[in-house]
Amino acid sequence: MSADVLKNVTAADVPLPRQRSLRSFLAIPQGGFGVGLLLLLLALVVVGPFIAPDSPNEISDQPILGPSAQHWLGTDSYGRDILSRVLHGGASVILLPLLAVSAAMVVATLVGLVAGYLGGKVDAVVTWVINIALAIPSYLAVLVVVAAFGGGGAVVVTAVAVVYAPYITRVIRSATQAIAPREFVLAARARGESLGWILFREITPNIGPTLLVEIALRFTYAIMFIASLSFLGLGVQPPSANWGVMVAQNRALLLVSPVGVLVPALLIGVLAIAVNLIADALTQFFGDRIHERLMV
Amino acid sequence: MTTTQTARTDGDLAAEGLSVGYRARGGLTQVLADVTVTLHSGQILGLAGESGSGKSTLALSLLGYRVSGQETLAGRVAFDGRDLDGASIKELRKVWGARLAYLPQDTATSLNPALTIRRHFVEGLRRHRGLDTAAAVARSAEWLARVEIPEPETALHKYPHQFSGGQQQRIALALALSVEPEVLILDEPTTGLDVVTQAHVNRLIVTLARDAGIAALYVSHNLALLATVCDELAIMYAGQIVEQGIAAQVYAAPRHPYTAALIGAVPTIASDRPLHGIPGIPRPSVPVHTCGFAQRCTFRTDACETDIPLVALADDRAARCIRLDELPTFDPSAEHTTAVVVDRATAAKDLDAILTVDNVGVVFARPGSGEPFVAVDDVSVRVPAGRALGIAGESGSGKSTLLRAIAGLVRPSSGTISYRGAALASTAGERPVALRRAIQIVFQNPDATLNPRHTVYQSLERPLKLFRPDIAKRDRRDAVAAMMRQVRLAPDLLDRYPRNLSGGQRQRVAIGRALLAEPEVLLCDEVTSALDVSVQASILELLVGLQAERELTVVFVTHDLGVLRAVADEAIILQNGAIREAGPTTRLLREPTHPYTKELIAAVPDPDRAAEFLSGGS
Repeated sequence: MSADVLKNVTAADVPLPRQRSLRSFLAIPQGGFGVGLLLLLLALVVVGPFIAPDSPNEISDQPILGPSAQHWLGTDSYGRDILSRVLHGGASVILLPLLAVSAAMVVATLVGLVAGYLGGKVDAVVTWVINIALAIPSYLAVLVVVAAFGGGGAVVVTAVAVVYAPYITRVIRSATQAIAPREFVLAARARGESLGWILFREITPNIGPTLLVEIALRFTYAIMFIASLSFLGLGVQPPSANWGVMVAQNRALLLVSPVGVLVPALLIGVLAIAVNLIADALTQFFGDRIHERLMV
Repeated sequence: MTTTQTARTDGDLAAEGLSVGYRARGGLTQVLADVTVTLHSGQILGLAGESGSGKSTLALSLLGYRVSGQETLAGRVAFDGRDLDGASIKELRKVWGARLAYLPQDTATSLNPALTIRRHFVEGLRRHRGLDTAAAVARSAEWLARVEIPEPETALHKYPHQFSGGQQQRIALALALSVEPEVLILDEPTTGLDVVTQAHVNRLIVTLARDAGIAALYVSHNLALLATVCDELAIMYAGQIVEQGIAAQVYAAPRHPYTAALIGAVPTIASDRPLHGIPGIPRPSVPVHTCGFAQRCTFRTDACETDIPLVALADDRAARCIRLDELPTFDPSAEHTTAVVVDRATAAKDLDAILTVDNVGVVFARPGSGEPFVAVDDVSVRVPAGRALGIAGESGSGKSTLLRAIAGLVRPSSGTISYRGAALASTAGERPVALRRAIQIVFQNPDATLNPRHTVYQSLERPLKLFRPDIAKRDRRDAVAAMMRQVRLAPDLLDRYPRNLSGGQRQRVAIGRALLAEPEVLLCDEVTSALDVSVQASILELLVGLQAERELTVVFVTHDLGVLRAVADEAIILQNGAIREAGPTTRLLREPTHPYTKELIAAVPDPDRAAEFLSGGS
């Protein structure tokens, strides 16, 4: 071997990886703004219960009082302090969608990976099921489930997870199909790697960006969806403090005391916008990275 | 032809001392330095260089085309007494298409998939030549006939996707020439096409451009092709022209060490000249106070650390080197003494076959149509142990499918593949570990061959974990580092991700990954086709060396007959999935018997047989 003909390539000849940090994510306007908003809301939800002047269901004063020094946002038709209920009512607004989306994500990722990688009959069956599921309107499906099993957090979370899973499965499946024929996957097959290794070690890390963006986007939808269900009386049940329930209950007083509706409605909106901005920033963040990888 | 071109007075387009830079993120990166080229009417100037040498930037700058952030730092582009690099977009629009035509590599960017061929032609002819529709249509049909598109009248009403890649590129050529431009800029116009199609398109380009008296610039990485089809040749390196002159002379007797090294890296079917890579990696930026090639040059001295001027020589030659008088004469056709010499004296048929392919067919079902697609058609071949078998053919010939069937990635529809006399299971998953270890495969695409989310070490450790229980866990890192040195990479790259490596470096890692399994048979699927010619030469050199050292059996798939000659002892030529010819590589290339082999050989550009190539082979 003529070793002298070829020079060894050393690390000095190779450009250093460009650092992709949280800071560069926050530098994207949507990222910084979205994360800022979300942190503010999380602070409100976490600290809220401790600084609330009253407990959420305590009848503390006359009903239907306007904003005053004692009750900043007034009281509702039962005489409960609205500010206290707002401070307590955020946890379920964030937590329930998070649970629903996580559950849908786990199932969808597994099914999507297997269908996308194996193809053939498995894929045909999965696609068929997805298409049928997507043809059923989301609200209708959840209405039927709630009618059958009664309302409440657990039922709503399960129903929303079931309704969202096909959408996510479809995204994961097509992302998997894009990765599966690539040569590093072929190399793994030629080595005789197990199905688990190929799906979770070779493919999953490469669909990570798609996965993250999809989680963020679905989370936004789920927040609005579950808040709407609570508003309709199908989700979180009164007397629980929940922003969606509050909008529904204080709706009758809209003309007398609008803050009782506006503040929780606004908070739901801001939460959805914050998560949506983060999803948008994630798309840009990973879009850049994908671009960079192709440019090399 | 028509009268417009005879009235031409000054069709010359020239870059004079042109320096161009890109401004991005507050910094300025210079990409062209002091480039002077002139395109003469009726002549073709070839511009050769590796990726990143600035050749495409020069081609676009000559058109006055500027991307955002691009700045002319010095010099100018002169056309017909005007400065193109300072011209307004309004002035440029009058010149583009009408007087300066551009033919890019990819027809997907030059033909609009939503418009018929007729619309493409009529638009340009009406705008630039003032023809009415009827005259424009007549002219279009005439040009389609000239680029040998069958049934030109019918073709006008078709859409681009209804034509093959080669036909699309010919249509794009006709489109560019139909407005009778004075200058034609060709940027790798045939790179994506099959060899036979490439030769056809190149013949047309040369004939038509010369007939029309066009001043053409032909940009390509393929030095042999440029030396065959061009009048003049300019070699670019790191944004500078390092050598320039009459094409045949530059190719036959290069003066600049880089030109000589580049020619030495080009695989050829004509001789047994071994390939040589160029050590090091190309310089990413324009040199300042030094010779651009100094880092990789065998003839470098301390005196090279200065700004090197382009030295004019006899016969319109020029070279950018200060040691021109002292350097030895480069003779690219000479044998090199330091080369790897593999003893191939033993006749292949006397050796035991390690791998036997018997009547193998691969058929794919085509969804939507009843007719299945036959990718591999009844192929039988035996691979002697320790030898290299080459499989050559055009795209769609089934060569990669055959290789993947051997690797257990594609299930054959018929026939058997045996390893040391025992039939192999049809998928890798069904084969015992020992057989999966023994047969390893390396893929074509350096961007996809390594998992982008695994570090180099993670990719290389895997085969050890699966196939080498003899190496203890704590010794794996040492074994991997040793392999890195064998494929000429420094072990400190182990914790990098593939995106930080160049294409050639990634291919080396991929070869290392295959070799760590200690295979008996190494399957190589077009492993160098995506690489620059100097990198290709180093990879082939590495493979040939490793094959000899480890007594490996290699099956090498390639579309390039020059590469075939460089690596393979025995070869088979595939067409439409079937073997057309088989035999020892040198004999196959010297005395082909099958008409298809002859056609393939005639399509390989060879500067020594330029006239033959341009007239359409034998």
